[in-house]
Amino acid sequence: MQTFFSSIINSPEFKAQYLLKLNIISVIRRFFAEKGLLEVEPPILNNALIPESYLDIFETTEKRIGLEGKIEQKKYLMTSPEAFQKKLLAAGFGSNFAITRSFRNGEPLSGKHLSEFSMLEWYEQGSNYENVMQTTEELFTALAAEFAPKGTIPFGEHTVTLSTPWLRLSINEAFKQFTSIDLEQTWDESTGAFSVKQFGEILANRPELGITVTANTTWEELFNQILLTYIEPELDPTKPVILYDYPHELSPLAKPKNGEKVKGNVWAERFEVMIAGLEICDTYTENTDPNLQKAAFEREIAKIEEAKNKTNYPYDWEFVDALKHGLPACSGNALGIDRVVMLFGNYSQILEA
Amino acid sequence: MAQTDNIKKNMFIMFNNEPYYITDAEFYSPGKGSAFTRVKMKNLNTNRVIPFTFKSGERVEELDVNFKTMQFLFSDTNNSTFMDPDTYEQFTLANSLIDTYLQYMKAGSDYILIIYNEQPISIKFPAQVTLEVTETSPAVRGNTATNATKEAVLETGATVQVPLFVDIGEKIKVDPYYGTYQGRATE
Repeated sequence: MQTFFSSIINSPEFKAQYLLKLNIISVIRRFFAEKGLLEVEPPILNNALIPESYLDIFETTEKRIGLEGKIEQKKYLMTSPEAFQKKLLAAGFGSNFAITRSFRNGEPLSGKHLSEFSMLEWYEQGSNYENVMQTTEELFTALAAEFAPKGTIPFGEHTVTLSTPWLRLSINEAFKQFTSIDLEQTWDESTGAFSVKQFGEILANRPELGITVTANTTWEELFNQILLTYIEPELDPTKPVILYDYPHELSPLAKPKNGEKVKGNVWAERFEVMIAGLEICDTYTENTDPNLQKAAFEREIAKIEEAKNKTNYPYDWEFVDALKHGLPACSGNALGIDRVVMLFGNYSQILEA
Repeated sequence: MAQTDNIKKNMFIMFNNEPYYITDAEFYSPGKGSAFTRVKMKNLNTNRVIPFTFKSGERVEELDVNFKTMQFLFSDTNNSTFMDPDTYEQFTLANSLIDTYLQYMKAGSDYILIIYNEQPISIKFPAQVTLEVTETSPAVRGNTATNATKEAVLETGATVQVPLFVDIGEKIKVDPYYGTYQGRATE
């Protein structure tokens, strides 16, 4: 049932939230135009998508009529503008940004997710994730100048101070600080991967955490369960926090780096910004190596084909070709505009419009 | 044993050797394959509410609780006292565990208590209660529109918003969780 018109007519709060979203989009557009980034327009309907096993997609059928008769072809709604923007980078278009709807099926039923949502994605050529941390802070400073002139915003029961620089905390520092667990101790140098067995041994000595490990438990589940239970709720809700250096295993398309004590593709140059419990954006220093990309593609494809409950689709191998052609060093940030609207308007629910 | 795939609001579980009551539960997927159930749960020994995240499909021990109808006698600052109508034995339950329902409880009425280890640990409150209005401004006859409201005090002391036509002495139905007027009681 469509309720947009009746909501915008009858609910002043809905109308205000919608207007705020339009105004935020216009500030974002101005910010990047002034920075000299090219605004690009990624296609929504695609013949193929990059394989992402953790997402489900929307499929539709294109029907065209000509002298040859009727032609029907499956099409897929983009889950993010990433592949298209990176192809433009590889083609020499340079730093660019896109403000667009993206589509994801099978999203959680919560006030923070939509199947169709508004996304900002920008790529800075020649930058790494630390440069993008700074751009993100500058973007929020520009948004605050417009929508929170005092530099603070009420959000739920908290008052958030947006002043920069934001607190920066690596994932492993956060684990050490809040749980006294050093994730590098769960790294198995002989296999070059994180080990669920080593993680389980550490947790066996920490029964008070209440984290159970069974034969089916994965390292990734333990990582996320602890992150969600003991770290995210402990972060200061009155200040933005940049969490950085995620496990590379969980961020295969980001540039890898060694651990402090262990060697290998332990961490990924990736950060997320958390503000008052809201996850605002996800950033990588992008992987530019086509072989690593191809291997990641193949791992994702195997997972999609193993999972019986996901829609299968043709994969965008042209994306790997673009990397072979040469993706310049770059760093990209994907930011949920609807979450930014929640934050600046102090809304507990995402706007369904 | 219960699977946490079935973990829902209002469930009682044993966790780290302590009894907990699930006050909130939400499906959550951090977007990298695995799924979780994020809960808020109240420790029934300490009344402290903590957040926790269970792996999807993780096994937890569901508490073996019983339900028992008891008569509510009285409340003091911290506790409410109930009586088992079969044995006349009295039991107390901390007011903090009754929470928002406390203001809708009427002495002499029967309520369903949740019993664990032979002690009440919580109350299973009805979704709707019928209570008499003891204080409100005079009724506006004929005004049956429900969008205009006034304040009314109920026999248990709770205050609710009611339509203008409701009068003192009338019995009304109230949703005790949200404290909202549900209609006149028809007897």
